[in-house]
Amino acid sequence: MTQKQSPLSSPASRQNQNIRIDIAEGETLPGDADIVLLPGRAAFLPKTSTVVCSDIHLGKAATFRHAGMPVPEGSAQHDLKRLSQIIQFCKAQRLVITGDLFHARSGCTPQVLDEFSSFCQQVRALHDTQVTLVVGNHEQSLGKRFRPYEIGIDRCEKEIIELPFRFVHNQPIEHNDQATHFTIAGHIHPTITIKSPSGDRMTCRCFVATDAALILPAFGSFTGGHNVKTSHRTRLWLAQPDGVAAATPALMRANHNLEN
Amino acid sequence: MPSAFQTKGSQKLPRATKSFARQKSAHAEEPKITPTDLFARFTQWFLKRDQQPFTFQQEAWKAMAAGNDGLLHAPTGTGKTLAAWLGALGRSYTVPTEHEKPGIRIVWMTPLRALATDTAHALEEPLADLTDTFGKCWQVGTRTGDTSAADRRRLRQNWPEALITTPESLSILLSLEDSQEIFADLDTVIVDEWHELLGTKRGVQTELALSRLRAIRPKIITWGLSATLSNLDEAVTALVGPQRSKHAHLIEANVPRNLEFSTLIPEPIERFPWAGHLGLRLLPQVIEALERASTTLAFTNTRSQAERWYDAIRNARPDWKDKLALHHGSVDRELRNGAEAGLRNGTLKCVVATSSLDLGVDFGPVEQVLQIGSPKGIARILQRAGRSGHAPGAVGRLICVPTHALELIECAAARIAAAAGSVEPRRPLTNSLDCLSQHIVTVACSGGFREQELFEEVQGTVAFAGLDKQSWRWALDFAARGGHALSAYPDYCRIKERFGRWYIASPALARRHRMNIGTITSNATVNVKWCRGGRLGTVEEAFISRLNTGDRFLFAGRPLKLFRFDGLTAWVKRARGSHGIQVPRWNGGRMPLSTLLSAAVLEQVRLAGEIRDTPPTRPLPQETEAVAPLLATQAQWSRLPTEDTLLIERTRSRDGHHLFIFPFEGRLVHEGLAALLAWRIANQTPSTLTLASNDWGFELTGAKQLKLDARDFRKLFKPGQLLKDLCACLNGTEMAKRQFREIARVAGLIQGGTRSAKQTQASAGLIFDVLSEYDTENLLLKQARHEVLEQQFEFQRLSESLDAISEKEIVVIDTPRLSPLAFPIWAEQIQSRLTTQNWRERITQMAEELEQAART
Repeated sequence: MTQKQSPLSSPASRQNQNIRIDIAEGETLPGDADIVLLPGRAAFLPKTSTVVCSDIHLGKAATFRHAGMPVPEGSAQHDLKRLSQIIQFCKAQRLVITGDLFHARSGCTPQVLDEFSSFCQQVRALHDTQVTLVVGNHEQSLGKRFRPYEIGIDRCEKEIIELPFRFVHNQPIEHNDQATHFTIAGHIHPTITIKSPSGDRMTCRCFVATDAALILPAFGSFTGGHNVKTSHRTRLWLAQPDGVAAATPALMRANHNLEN
Repeated sequence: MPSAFQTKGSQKLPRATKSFARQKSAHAEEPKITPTDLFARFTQWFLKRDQQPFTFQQEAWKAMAAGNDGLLHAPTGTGKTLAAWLGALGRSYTVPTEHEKPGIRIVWMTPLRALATDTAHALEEPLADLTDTFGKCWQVGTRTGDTSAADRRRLRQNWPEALITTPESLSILLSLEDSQEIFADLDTVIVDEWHELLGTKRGVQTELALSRLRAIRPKIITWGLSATLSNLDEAVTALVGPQRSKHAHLIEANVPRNLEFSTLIPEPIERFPWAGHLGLRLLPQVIEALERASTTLAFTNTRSQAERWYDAIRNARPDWKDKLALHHGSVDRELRNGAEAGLRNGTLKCVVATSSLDLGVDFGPVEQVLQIGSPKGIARILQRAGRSGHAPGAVGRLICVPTHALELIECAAARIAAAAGSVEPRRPLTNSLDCLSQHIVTVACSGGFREQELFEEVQGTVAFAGLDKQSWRWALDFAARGGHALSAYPDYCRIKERFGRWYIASPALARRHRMNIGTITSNATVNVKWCRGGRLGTVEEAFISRLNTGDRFLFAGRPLKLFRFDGLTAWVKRARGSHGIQVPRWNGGRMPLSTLLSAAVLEQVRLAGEIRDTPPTRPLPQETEAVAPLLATQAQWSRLPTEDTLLIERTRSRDGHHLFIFPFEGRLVHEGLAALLAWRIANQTPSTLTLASNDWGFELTGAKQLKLDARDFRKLFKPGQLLKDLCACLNGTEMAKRQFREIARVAGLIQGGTRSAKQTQASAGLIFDVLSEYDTENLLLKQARHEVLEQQFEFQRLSESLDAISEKEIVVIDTPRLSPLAFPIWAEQIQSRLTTQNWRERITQMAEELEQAART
């Protein structure tokens, strides 16, 4: 499954340019897209019936409490509930999490692990959904204590390649005409800040796409963001809890961090 | 008469106490002398130096020897330090110690740790001469955030008799397990520059620490030293607590301090820029002023301004290369020390500084002070003027340098008010639950407490005199379990109850608490270092992360090129030339124009208006006269605001539709009024409005035209339901969120400074959102809103100003372009927003606006 294609293989690179990204409006999923961007910061691949999300950072609040900072719980349950609603909506057979499912070792309390494993059982019962995790930098620091088979998920150390897609945790926002796969990744927690002439200013989480990759926004609600630099070749979608909107060229130009 | 004040900054004496042998029993065997004899010896010491002690100094000695609390109020540089220090020594001399080997006898609190070393020098000086009285056993030590770990260990083994410290370090000492023993022999606490702490959270922290010290050792006396303050009674009460304040002494020095104020007036006023913080137009005149004096201290209001002016002066006079220095809070300690040493020994021509040099030991050679930009307050102009003219018989001189035309009026108003002797009050804060929560954990670290005892103890302070049992329970519960919402999580617990006493849950938590004690919050900063080694200081992370490798910026007075940024350190190389270079912005506090000063400003505008109609009965101040043509333009295009009209201007620009409103109530009240008005407008028609304000008025800008006339404005400014509407609009703006950052840090919700614990990094904004969602009853959220209402908007003043507006005539004028008064508000860079639209509408509107802007 992880055999690398020759970089010279032209069909694959042509295939990349044909990846169609569309957004879900209301209750209907667009029929002929390769990737559908969903409200609530996740994506759906209809051909393989797969929901992809990234950077949930479960147990972050518990990590804070462990360090003596009184942050209430609630965000984790809320995020898992949202995720299972998304899976039901798409009737997805598979969930791929591209890294950073758990925040830190001190946050993996029995309560957090229980909540996650009951989530896995619930989605399996509904649509027989299989959960797969591509290991992110936060999982790497979890060490031996992290035993995914106990909570019933598949774990992949580096990347999953399923032509034309490649799922990985960290992928820089770069343009690459010669890429053999279309990469779907997380890690960056992309956001964009837009300023209008009359002084309105808004920071939104966003999906970022280049010609060879799609970077997902962080799914977890208790996560920060990083303002991304954009160029005229990147495409952006604003990702809000209740909808997705494509950034028009004018909005892209108004990005605070526009690269020259 | 030669006066006593030049002794303070003198550095002639060697640090004698270092070599003192500890002879604890020395003075126990000596025959005791009476306080009167002691004062005679102090007087002799003055006479030996060709000086005479002032009456207020002698009064203070007597009051302290008699065991009274009090406040000593005297202008900067008149010998307060000697009055308090000799008085405290006298008291310790007469009070018997209860232990064989006494610990700390005198605690000397200073607001700035940078002042500790200088204060130590100033205290050791008389001590070295009075060894025949005190024996050789008195040592002066310092314990601040700058003290090294080794020195801290040495201190703990052998406490000096007099300890100089900051409020933060004192709280750390109070959190030590043996704090009861450390302070068992304490006689006197002196709080230096009490006016600087009063009215801040550090003041609350000081009040709590003092109440703790009084609980440990009820016999102590507390003395405050203050300058430039008008509400002295409140200051005394806050210092000694309401119960003891009846018997406290208030000693005011009747020492005249000669101060001279003047303003640089730009020559061709028409060509003078109307706004902008970088107005370097007066540079040639500033250079002339610098040439006239041997040493000048140039104060700016912000660090960025200091960087720009330093660079401009250096480029204008390359021959002064080695005689110029820059001093602000972000520059590395060693560079700052160099600047201070240069000021002290007179080798520098000019130091450009921010409020980092407002306080402290006097620099003898400083002949004049420049105030670049509006002084913003009368206390501030007096404090800064007091930094000059410390040579015997010299006059303190302050020259105002306005950076835009309207600041001329502010300079005139401040100058006239300062000469008339009026000063702003500073009100102590009350019910800061974040400080209380921190204090509870501090006391729990130091051997525990009984709930009722500590409750009564903190109720004895002005800050918590009105604390009810419910809020107290909440604060205790928050310290113990993180509040109601966290009660289900046993993994989080800071303090525990055992046999009726509360203790810290683990030594590790105590260590972490000590690292986070304090109420000063700072943004995430990164170090700036030379590639070849050596540290330059710190800049805010937000600034550096916007730069690309190779970009040039101005910092610590040097043009630099960013070589590499690795997340913790910005490695830089020297760059050539400073033309068109970026200057970092620091989000420091921006002072509003004080109430007193705004009234004085309006008076100047009125005078300038009158002159057009009738010939003046007495000459106008020259600043007002210089700006009169500009005000004439304002009168021609629009109108001049007066006391009984509220001027509203409507205009259109490329940015959208603007409303400018001029109530003249100071920036804080304007922020509140702007938020309130925007909320009421946006509630009628869903819209997104941008708010900006300065000390003269405020602005609302929207993408769509707001069709409002005088009658509508009358309704919008109705005082009714003020509190309810303000609370509602706080949720619509991000103001409460901004305030929450500080509160969260003090209460231990987020950890400041260090970036070592990467997995527990979160922005306060994120935590604010989590709490708003999952712990709505959290009192810290309520406190954030309350603080915005009380401190940011000055709720009382806001509600009074709404009443005042209802009496005023409302004048609405359409202007073809931005009027002279509107322009500076428009140019304000700090704006906030209020929206009642959902994100889709906002995005669509933004996109439309941007498209339109692209077409034109």
